[in-house]
Amino acid sequence: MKIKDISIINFRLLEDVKLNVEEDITLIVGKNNTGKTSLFEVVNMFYSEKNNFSFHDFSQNTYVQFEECFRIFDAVQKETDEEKKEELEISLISSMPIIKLEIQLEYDKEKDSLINLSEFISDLDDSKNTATIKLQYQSKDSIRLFSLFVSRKEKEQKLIEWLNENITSYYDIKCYGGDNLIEENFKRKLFSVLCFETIQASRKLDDTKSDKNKTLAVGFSDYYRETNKDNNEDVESLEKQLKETSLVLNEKYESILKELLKKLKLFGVEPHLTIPEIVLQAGFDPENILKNNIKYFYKQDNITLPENFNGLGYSNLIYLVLKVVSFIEKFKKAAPLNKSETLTIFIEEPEAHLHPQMQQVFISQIKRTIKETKKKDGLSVQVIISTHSSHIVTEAGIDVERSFERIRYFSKLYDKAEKRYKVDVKDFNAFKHKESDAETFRFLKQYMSLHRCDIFFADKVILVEGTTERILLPLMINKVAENLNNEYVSIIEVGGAYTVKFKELLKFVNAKCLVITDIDSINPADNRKACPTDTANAETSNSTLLNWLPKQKLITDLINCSDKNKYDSDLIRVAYQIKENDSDYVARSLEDAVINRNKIFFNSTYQKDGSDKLVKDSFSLLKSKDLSISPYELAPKSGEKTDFTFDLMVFNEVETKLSWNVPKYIEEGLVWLANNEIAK
Amino acid sequence: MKSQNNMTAFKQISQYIEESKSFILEAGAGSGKTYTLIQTLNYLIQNKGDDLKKATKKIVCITYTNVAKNEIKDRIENNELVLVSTIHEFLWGSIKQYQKQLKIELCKLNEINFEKDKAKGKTDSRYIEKLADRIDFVKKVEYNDTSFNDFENGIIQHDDVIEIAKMMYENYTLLTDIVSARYPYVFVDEYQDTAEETVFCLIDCLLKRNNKKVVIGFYGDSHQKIYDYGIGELEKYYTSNGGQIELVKKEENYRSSLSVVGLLNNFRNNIIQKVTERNSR
Repeated sequence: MKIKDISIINFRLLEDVKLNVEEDITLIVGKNNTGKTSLFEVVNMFYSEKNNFSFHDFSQNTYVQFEECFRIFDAVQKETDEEKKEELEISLISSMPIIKLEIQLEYDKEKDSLINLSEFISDLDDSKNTATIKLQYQSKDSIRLFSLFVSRKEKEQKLIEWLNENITSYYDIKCYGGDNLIEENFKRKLFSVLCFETIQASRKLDDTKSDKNKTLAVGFSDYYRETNKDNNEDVESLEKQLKETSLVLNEKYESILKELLKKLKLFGVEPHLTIPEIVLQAGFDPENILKNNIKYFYKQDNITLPENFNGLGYSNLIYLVLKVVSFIEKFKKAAPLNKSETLTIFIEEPEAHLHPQMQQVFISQIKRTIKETKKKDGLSVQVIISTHSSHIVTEAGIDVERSFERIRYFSKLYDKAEKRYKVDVKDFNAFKHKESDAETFRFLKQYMSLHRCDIFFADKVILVEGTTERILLPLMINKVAENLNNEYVSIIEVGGAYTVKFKELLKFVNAKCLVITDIDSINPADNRKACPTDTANAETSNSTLLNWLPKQKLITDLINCSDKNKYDSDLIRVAYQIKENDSDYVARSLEDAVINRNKIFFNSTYQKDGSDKLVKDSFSLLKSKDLSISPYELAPKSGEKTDFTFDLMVFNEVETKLSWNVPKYIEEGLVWLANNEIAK
Repeated sequence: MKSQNNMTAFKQISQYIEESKSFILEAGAGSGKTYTLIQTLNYLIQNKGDDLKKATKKIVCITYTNVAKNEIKDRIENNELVLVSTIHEFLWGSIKQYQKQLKIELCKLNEINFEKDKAKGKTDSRYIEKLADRIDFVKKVEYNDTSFNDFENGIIQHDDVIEIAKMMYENYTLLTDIVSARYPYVFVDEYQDTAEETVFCLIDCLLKRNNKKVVIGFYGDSHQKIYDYGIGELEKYYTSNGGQIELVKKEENYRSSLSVVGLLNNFRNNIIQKVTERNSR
């Protein structure tokens, strides 16, 4: 049996999301504040012994619904016709907002025990093999809730404000198997089917020498507690040894404290009021000894270092692995009565304090543990990991079978109709290219694993042609779109024909994206050789421009293309060379455009060491050249490109009080990218 | 078979239980049938209790009346391993959560009842043709004994439970799989008064599909049938007739004198009662 999917409604950021769960490892990725932690929270809150829900846990969209319910309540009060009144009451009850967690389980009729699970099966159809657990935080007395609101003392208090303080008395957790309410003792029934364990992000790791927080000690003693101690010779001999030691210690303590004990006896005032005799007994239990009385050292060559001398990284890694193994042990040896059918482990951001290699070690350890547990004990463990690390994504996801399919991408989408953001969970199983274009899918996989792609965590994405753009972009952003520095912009270097392969992926991750490319003019009359953009009948050879945006072939059409044809949805925009404000010249490449845009700059002089210096002399490419010839001719040939780029990069704008300008097409693109207003 | 005749009925039953064989206890009046049932339950609690508890399985004991139900509960000190319930409680409890299928079967039952009324020439039939067209308006199929049945609103009644349960048990193997997994032992007290449909559910569906996984025991006396619709006897299911039910006879009579027993033996032929020492004088 395994979890198939988890759906959540009305919980914090998660208004309505559904998450498919993989058989072994599922990866939750996405930018900050997209509800990744809420997913773990909602499960833990429903599973907790106590009801910890409060009004804050309702997603904001429910506020309108509560207000609507109050209007219905008002109508109920005013209605005199019995029949209509009843109808309204029914509608009120069914409209009350509910926080809902629904877990679909898939079972194997032959292998799985249906005894406990059958409570949650509601469909006898032989072709279906799913059971549904539905947990709801729902109203138990809507009419009374609103009546009390009406009779509140402070009349100026608004509904939402009042609910915030009072809702917990009128809402309760209910559990359903399919649509059937499970009346008595639902927690026991729930636990008997499904068990969740969580390792939170805020782990208590301590890097100080105070030795207060002994991560490893805790990890090891947890492990000891959870392992099966029956018929284990080592455990028995350890316990026997401890018992013997206790006996010896008892005698020693007693002889030391003999005098004191004697005196205590004398305190009795009269025979009836004596102090009871005191006997000393050393109480050792292995778990506590592991935790409190054993020091952990890391062995390094011939020296042993105390636990707290080691980096947080190792402690964290060992702690995580120990935790996961303990969960599995605990699950295995759970008393039959409390045994559940499946185990699911949530791990929140395991990458904390781990450098990239260690993150990869961690993931491969987890993978191995799951595999071994399945092989050795026949137990399937599902692990759900939320992460911000592209290394974990690579190790757990991209480079192995069922690669992208493991990734669940949490993103916030702007709902135009409701004018607000909604969290959406995207699933690569639904990724367009998966079946239709296997080659593109393979390319993306390959690219992402080789480049440790951070596209899943980025606020915005810039696709560039080559190294020149990549090096210069940070400078250009500083010049024209400084706001972008406050966001996480992922710059992906992908040239030529491959850019368009990113199209579906970019739409999938739903991040605003600028594609910076070159106009690449060629002359069809001259063997399709590269030519200046003003050549008659020139065409472009750039497949992005030809096949994606703006889908134009002729250079003249590209130059005159209006801005609105440069978008794919609201989120992707292409930028290629266009006319600068002061001339009709259109460059062919980035370098070409930089030279064209900055003629004045290059011809300027500045003072250094008491003499005038020409700017262009700092550039090996332009030194001793006449800048009045076409920038097309001046532009560096492929071998000279990097020199030109570096010359531009190291040019000291502060000292010379001169600065170069960003070519217009890039400036326009960056300004658009930096703009966070929703409308285009 | 001779040796078996020397064993007490309870000994034979416990042996069949160990062999995972279903059985019927044919016991004449005054033979202590109920006590044998209690002995059977206690035997299982003693010998299989821990295993059943670990696996969260239960023993089911079906009684004919609420009085009998409470009597048995008292006798086994309300042991939580045994689910003692009336036949209606048990059948409805086992099917009520499968609303999708219940609705399908309710529609079928409605058509059957409608046709029946029509054939009888009944003009005031409570059934309206083609419930399937309106079934989406039915929120939930519910069992309510306090009112008349009202299929249009999903309300079924006493006798409908028996019929709809038969249809559910017959048509959905997953249901009998679940019931056999949860309740490996099912005992029916006063089987002779059990409806034929119910016997069909238990033997033809539950037992036949899950032979060896479930043991069903019937306790009763074919000569003590009170109600018309009761099945009376189960002879066609006996192993001697190619079925799966082993016959156990209880021939002692603790209540009656020799002359009464002689009279009884004269007019019934499937059991020869014996007078116990206690009342032979």
